[in-house]
Amino acid sequence: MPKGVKVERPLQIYFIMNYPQYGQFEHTLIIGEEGSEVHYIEGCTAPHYDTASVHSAVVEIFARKNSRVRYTSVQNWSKNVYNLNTKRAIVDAGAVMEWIGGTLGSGTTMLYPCSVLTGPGARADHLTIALAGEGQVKDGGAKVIHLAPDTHSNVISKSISQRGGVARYRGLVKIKKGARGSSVHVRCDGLILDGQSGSDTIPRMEIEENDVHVGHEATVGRISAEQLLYLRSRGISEEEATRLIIAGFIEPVIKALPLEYAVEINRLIEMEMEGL
Amino acid sequence: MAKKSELSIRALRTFIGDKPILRGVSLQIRPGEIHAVMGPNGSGKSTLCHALVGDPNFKVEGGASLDGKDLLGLDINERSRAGLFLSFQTPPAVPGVSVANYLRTIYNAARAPAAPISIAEFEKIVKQEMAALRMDEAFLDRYLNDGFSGGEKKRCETLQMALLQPRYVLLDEIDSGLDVDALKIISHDIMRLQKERKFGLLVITHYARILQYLKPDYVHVLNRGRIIQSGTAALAARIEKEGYDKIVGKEGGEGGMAGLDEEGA
Repeated sequence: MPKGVKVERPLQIYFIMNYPQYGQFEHTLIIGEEGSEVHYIEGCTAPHYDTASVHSAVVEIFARKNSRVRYTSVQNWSKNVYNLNTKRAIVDAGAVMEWIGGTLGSGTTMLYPCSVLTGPGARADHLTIALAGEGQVKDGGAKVIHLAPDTHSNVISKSISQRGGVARYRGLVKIKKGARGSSVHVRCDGLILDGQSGSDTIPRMEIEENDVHVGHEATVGRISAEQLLYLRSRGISEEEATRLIIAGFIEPVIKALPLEYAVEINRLIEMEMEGL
Repeated sequence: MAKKSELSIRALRTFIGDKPILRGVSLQIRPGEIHAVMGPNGSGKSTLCHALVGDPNFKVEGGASLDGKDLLGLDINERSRAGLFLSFQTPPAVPGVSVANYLRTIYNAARAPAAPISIAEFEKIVKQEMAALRMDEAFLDRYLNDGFSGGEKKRCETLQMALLQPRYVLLDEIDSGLDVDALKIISHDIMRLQKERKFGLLVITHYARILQYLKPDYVHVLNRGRIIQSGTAALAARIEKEGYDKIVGKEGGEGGMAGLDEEGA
């Protein structure tokens, strides 16, 4: 993105793996020059084969001074794809980096987008939804590294586990000495829909500076019987009540997506709930 | 038997596990009537409401029907569609679900199998009801009961009552968590709706205070899972003056429910 150029519509990229035993190694490089703005969206899909495939992405983003880069990834690989990615952004002074992710498909996903805030006033937002169903392990998270004063990051991770799936939040927050006045807020919420599924939170924090605000909130729970009774007593079925509660649960991430992607993710989640 | 317009509760018993809570409660509420069920803490007041809407925490025996339709065999949502509405004592928050989206969902569910109405059409209807309740439209964008004050929760319940147009309304301790001013406003709104739409109203309360505003035709005293006395508004006034002890102590064995076992009472 050249200096000062602002692209209003998202750039859309699509990855497909349509051969058996496929190995896909992508390398994406985005450089947002000073004052530029761009929203990049990638979608991932693959038909189901009997043999496993691997998708390995390396994504490098440079958000130069006062630029704004939003990177959205919606992944619906087939259930025997290893989805192993490395994603990193270097965020300069006054720039804003936003990572938005929905990981619905794949067998095993390991994905921890990283923001390195190198200049004063840099910010990063990480918003993710992970759905872990039968045979799926979603090991994901965020890394935020604050190297300059007055840098701010916000991580929201939402996961839903069902039918034996395991969702894991693995995160790193690092604030170097001298990054005064910086703040980090991490929030991870896990929703477990049945007795066979799991959710883990593995946060790591390395804070070297005293003059900072660091917050970490984590919740793990089930859909409450109280909420269900309340909604059903207003005339909606148990399935519809559950859908409504789940839609509300992921709303903080969904609202950051363009409408058509938001609709798509909601629909994919509904399909997974129905076991299609 | 001809279909009768009434909410009929017949010898209703409830259990949590083996523990009896209600020990045989009978009540008939007709459209347009206001009944109050009063009782000390632990008498089973809230249980009565929850058993009627179908809270799965309770095992229920006995009978309950709404305008001749058997309630106890119906699923929770079908009871609502049949015309029953419970205003919850503490409505739970549903974060991320906007009031607007939620209200439209329940409104359309109540209309089914008729086709759902459009967002624009619904907005017109909901804004009209909100204006009548003097509610700020900004309410619609908030998440359901999330961070609501006690008064806001109860007003949101009243708005749903207005939209769903139930035949029978149960108010479970609507005065809990409200100050006197909020209580007056909400009671006034409910009375207006009740006069307009003539639904049968069952007010569950510990305190007689609320009955100054929600004026009951009949008052029943519930103690240890049984209605031990029924009367008019004068009975509530007596409770307010004398407290429960006297009534419960003096008349604990009466009330037409003699013969039911006293075990564990």
